Amino acid sequence: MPQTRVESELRARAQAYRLLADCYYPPGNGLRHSVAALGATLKSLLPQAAGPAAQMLQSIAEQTALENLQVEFAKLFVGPFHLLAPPYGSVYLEGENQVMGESTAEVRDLFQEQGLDLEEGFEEMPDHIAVELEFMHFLASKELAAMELGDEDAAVQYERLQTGFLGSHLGRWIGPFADKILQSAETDFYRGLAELTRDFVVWNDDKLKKRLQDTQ
Amino acid sequence: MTRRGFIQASAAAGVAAAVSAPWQPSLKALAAKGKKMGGSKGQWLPATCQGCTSWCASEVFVVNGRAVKTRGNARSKVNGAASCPKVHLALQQVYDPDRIKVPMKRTNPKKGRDQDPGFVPITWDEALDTIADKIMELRKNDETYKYMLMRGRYSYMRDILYAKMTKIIGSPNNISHSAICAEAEKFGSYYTEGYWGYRQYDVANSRYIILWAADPLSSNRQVSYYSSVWGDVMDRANIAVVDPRLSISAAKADEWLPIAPGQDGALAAAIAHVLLTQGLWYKDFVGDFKDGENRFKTGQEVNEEDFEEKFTSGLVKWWNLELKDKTPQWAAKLTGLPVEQIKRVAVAYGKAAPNCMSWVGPGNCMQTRGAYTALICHALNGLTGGVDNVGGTLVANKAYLSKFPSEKPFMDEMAKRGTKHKKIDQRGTLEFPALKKKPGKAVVTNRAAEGILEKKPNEIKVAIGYMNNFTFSCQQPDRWERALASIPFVAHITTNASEFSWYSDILLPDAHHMFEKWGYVKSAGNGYRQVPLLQPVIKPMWQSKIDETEIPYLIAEKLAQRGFPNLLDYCKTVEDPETGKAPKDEKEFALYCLKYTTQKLWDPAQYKGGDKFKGWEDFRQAGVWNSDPYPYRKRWGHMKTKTKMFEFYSETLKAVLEKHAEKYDVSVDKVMEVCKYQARGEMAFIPHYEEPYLVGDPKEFPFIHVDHKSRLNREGRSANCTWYFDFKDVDPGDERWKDVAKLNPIDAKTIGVKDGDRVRLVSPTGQLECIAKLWEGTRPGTVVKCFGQGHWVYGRVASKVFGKVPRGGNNNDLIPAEYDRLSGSSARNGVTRIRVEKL
Repeated sequence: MPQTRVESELRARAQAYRLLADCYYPPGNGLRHSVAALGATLKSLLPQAAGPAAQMLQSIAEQTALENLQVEFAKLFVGPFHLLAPPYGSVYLEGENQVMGESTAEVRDLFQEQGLDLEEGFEEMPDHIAVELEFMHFLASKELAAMELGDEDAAVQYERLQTGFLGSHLGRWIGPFADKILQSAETDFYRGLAELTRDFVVWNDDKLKKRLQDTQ
Repeated sequence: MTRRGFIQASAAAGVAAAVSAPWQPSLKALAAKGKKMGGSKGQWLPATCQGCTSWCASEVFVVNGRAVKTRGNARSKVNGAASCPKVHLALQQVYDPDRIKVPMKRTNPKKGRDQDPGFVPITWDEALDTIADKIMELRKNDETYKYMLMRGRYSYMRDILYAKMTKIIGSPNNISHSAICAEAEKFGSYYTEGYWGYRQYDVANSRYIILWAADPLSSNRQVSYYSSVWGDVMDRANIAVVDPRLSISAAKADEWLPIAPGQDGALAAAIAHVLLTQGLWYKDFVGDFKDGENRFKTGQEVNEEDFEEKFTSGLVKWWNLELKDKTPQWAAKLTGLPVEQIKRVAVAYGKAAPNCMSWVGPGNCMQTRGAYTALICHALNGLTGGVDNVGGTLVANKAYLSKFPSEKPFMDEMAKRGTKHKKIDQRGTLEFPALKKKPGKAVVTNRAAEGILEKKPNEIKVAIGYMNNFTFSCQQPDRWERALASIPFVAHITTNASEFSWYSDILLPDAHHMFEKWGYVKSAGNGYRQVPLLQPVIKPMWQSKIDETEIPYLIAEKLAQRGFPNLLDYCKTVEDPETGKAPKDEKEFALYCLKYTTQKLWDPAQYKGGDKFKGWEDFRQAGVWNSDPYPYRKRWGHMKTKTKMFEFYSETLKAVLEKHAEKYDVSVDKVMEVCKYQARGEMAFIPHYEEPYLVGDPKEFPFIHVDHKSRLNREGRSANCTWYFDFKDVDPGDERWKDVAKLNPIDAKTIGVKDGDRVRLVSPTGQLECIAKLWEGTRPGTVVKCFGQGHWVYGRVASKVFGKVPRGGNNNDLIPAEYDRLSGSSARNGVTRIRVEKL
């Protein structure tokens, strides 16, 4: 079955969420490949992503040791001490500098409604940036699968879930989160990642809203 | 997928899956678990709060694995359903995004305040391997005594990490934090009534309460219980608070005696003088003159033969040596209190005997000559017969707990040799008698910094600290910064990285005591002893593990892999009392340690007293065991002193002091001299007044610094909680989101400081910056400032500019490293003079 333009865009979108989520894991040897794939995936969707993606690749190449990125990753997202860019939704949505808030519980409820929960042994919070991006990847993938099966209603349903999730969670904190990275990051890698994540999520949010309006 | 997987996951794997089949979501963090709609309504689960040493039995409301609120455990006969303001901050601690989440290692080998450690996440395996390698290196070189364990907040699971592991490795250097807490208090009760411990106070039955710089509505001990009953207590008792600052307890008291710092001994001597001269001592406890005629007359000696004591010893000696001239007029000059007030308090207190108490708080004895202040203030409980009596001061009821198995069979020759070395805190040296029952038995926590720096008695090469932050909580903390920087390898086990972590090589994420840990503690109040359980009521956050049990077990496994199985073999002896099985992993070990040590409380076959349970599960669900009610007056005539009596002339103290002097072939007078006390001759053995020992020239430093604790201090660990700052004005005189130095308006006018001015407080050994607050609750001539703020690292809220500018100031930066050397305690109250500079 030949892919429609919509389907191929959707496929790229789902891929992009997966790859972005991967970038919020501690930097390892596969990081360069992920970023390269991310750049290629976003090329067709978001032309302005080319700059930050290239900047991220350049930054990886410039690091004398992976350790530099690991130190930066720790300071931004792990700690210890003053966590520079807490990667948790609740910190931004509830204003109390706390994890596991009401909003975190809501996110977990949304996962459970989709038959999902955190993987056994996964020791981060449900509203960790990598998990929320993965959830978007999941919903976009489900939308695509529905489309391929010709189940329009289900596809629209998954699209609504994505808009809803962005509107009540990820889309609401991605901006301040990216700002915190941009304020504190010393490497172009994480500055690029912040811009890319924010621009992509905002672009996707607009796009989905527009599509839903058109559908209606 | 394991968390290790999260750490190591190669992003490329995700790509491959995503590119080949995007319509099949590629999941890493999430997994299909089946649909679930709507969570549970939540339930109250038993826990224990260790925000201070009240150690209240608490409950946590848990909804879908998330802790959302707390309250007291109604089953507790000590605190009941009551809780205090600070317990709620525990929720902000456990869910603090700045917590240590995973093991981390330092990447910058240089250590200093200006050296960013550059911590990076590592696996538990790598962290434990590193620690085990460092310990094995000491063993290889037969220098196990160069290992050190530093203990901060603990539960009674402490024995494993603190004592057993240290001894089995072969080191004498397990150093607790106790001496920076309140050990001087215990000196007072030990050398009068043979009890080394915090007393409980029978407030429900009391008719007169003297609080010596104690603030039971704020801090230590049984804050929840006292807060809940204080209104009723005030209906029955008169309350007099002796404190240079208007504490929350003083604000509610019948009498506030804003005493000059360090002069409490003078007031206590005068109260004793009044009690004796006016015949107000409690004769059923103390005894009387044989002919019934009161010969205690101001300035006149009494013949010892004329008085027949009952349950006390040395009263007449005490009168002749110390009290006969200590009139209210004499005390008024030193204390700055009116003669009439001293008399009024003394007479009313005496008339309430025996249902009255003299409550010695750490504030009046954590001072350079504090041992004798603790003695003389506590001795009043002997005169009034309030000791061990209704409405007086009680000891802890009996609790039936079992000791862990002995470590001795697991100590090899190297360990036996190693543990014979002297301890790093220099306890037991001529200058640091540290008399806990025997010379050199009390810890001198803060002195360990010198021990490390001077390599005296020896070098420290490998150190582990847990739930401690000596680089903040000890006086002159800069010494600790240098000391830690000089140790080649330091590991820190803690919930939040702190100034101590800054100088560490490995950080291990610790379980939070209230939500994530197995353990028990003991506390006493309201005439009962309780044993509340620490239980994991939520899944431990991130990768945290339990400091006192799980982590030593995991280290033991690593040591065994390296050919040193002794610690693991030891751990295997702690069997599950229900099944007889040895633990097969760290989680089982943590649970078995608790079941093993508390078996007599929950096993009906071993029942000894107090609450009775059907078995372990029954006990676990209740979350607390309560003792039988207090047996009043049972200790009268059976105290653990030399004479078995309450000693006004302490034969017990005399024996240990003479033993210490003998060891160094000097006189007791010489001991007094090198330890900075004024007592000479027999005075060393009796409760007496000593002039306060203050550092700093009064001309250059015109004010005396007064330290106090906050109602919201969860020890030193509240500073990264926003609620701490949002509600800081629950401390009288303090303000929200500020750290204020409280000056009396009279003084402020003299030095031209206005309310809200930024000021620098300067002492002979350090300085800090904060905001001036003009407040009538400060005794003129003093500057009052609360402890707790001033972290330069810790977390996003605690410091203003991370690593550079603290939020507020740390009082310990002002206070010189002085000691009450008889008890080993750090002096932190009434230690130093300061000046105030307007910025």
